[in-house]
Amino acid sequence: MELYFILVITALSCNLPGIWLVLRKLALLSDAIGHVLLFGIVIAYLITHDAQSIWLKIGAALAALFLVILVEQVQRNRTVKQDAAIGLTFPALFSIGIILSTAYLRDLHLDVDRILFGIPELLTLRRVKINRFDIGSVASLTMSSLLLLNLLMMILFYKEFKLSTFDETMAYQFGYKPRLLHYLLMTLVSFTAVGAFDTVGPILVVGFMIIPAATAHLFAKSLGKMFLLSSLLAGIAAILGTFLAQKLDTNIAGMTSIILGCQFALAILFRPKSGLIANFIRRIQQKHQLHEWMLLVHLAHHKNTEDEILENRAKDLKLHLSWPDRQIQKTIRTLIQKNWITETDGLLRTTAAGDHEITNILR
Amino acid sequence: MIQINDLTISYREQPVLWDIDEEFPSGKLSAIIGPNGAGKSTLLKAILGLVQPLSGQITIQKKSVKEYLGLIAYVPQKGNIDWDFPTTAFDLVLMGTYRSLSWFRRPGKLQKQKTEAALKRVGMWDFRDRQISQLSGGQQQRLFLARALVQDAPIFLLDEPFQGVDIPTEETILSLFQELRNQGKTVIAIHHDLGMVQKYFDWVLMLNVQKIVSGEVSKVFTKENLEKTYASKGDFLILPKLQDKELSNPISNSKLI
Repeated sequence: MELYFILVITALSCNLPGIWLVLRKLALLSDAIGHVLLFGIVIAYLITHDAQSIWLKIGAALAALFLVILVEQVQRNRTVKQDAAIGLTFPALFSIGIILSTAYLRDLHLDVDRILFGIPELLTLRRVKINRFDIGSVASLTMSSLLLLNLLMMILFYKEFKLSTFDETMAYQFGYKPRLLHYLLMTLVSFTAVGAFDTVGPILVVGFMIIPAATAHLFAKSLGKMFLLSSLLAGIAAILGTFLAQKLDTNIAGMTSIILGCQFALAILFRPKSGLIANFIRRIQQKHQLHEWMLLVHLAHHKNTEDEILENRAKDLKLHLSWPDRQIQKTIRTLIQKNWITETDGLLRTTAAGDHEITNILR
Repeated sequence: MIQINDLTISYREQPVLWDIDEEFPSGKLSAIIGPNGAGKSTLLKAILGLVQPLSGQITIQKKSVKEYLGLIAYVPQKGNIDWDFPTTAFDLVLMGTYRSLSWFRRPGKLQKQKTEAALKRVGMWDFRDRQISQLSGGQQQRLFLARALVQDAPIFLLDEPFQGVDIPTEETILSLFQELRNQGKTVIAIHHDLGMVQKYFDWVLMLNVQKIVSGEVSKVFTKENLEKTYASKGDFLILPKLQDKELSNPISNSKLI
């Protein structure tokens, strides 16, 4: 039960700053931060030589902030765009982290699974006790405090974050310091990433930060709705992912990431009006309508002319329109149903309603 | 009064504005015209303190940028905004009222009333609940104007407000300009439609990296000056129907629109 609790609060605390990342088109930054944490951890370890030290986490958070500053500086002289600046800087830092750890920390066993997905299954084993009184696991305490911190900041700075994200120039002009707000947000992202990194691994951290927000962005008309929907999606994915992973005896972080991906895929497919399926249906409808119009116009063009008997007989239409039989039969049926044409002895003629429709079409 | 002295601005080593001196009159409609790359937007950005000048200074009522920033409502080009942002028309305009709020304060009843009045003024009240990408270009421009209106500023800076708008929006903007001037506000707009400048504006600054000329439209809006402004960049100049008779007549304010 506590496992569900941990996953849900991790989902929510990642999701809150993640929404702003998505809206600021900085989704890639979450991935970049996930990578440079290693750099920070390695540097901090080389200084402290203590694998349990709290300094490793502080080092990781500082490395993330360092990355953010670096990205800003690279981007500043306008030769590269923001996404390119992120792509340029984090692989460098990540590589340095890898080189240092392989050169100096060879004795430290690094497990790829552990690094990519974390081991949420073991989270409840590390407990915090005060006077032998069990007050919860390390993970649930860390993540609860992070969630509270993020929630508090989002409520306090809601208006400020909103304005500086939507229109940075105006925020600056109104005296809301957009750069300060940017660094505040990045600090929250870094702290959250460091905390959640230990809990669910970097893949799911990025997943929780970006995917529910991206999915909610497809639907939400207002920012408030985006927050609600995004949190809901993140929470559902956390619960469903944990449940399925336990049922199927597989990795929780991996399973939850898949659920998040499925949510997004379903949203893209079933979105009303602009979803793939809605588009598909609309295109078919348009195609059918076009066929009806084409046949109707053809019949009208030859109506009351000498060649009407040649052109407008149902069985000869194939010759003139070069359509497959099925399509011709179907279109004729629909037009008769709509009472736009009549059929007498195989000859098709437009009705008054059909002629009226044509004036609309050809207008 | 907006006073610009010896203003030079460059991106890298290439000056985009060279030694500009200008005084925009208060309570008038001023247009900034010039070919592409003439530095028009840069001049507005310099007034807003968004770009640093290499030389010179800008003062408004003898105040420096930091002090006068609160006097300006700025209407950027539509393209600089993410229209997919999850926000409604009402909300976008409401954000203009954030200017009068301090940190952490949320907009209240007063701000919402102002927003309602501004939306009604630009004819967008019926669209208040639309997500902003579901609006036409002209409607989006009207929202920007409403957002400027709720800021209660004495000076309006607009970057190509007529760019790609429909006729009703154009009329709304022009009548709004008129109304603002009647309230004694100063309006400065970057502009492309030369015919409109001649018809509706009081003051014009012709710019092409350097200042070509500025002054009352009735005095300086001549074919020679326009040719000087547009020709030096090798652009073709398509002059509006300029008639000498019209040019020599000062345009009376009361007859506008």
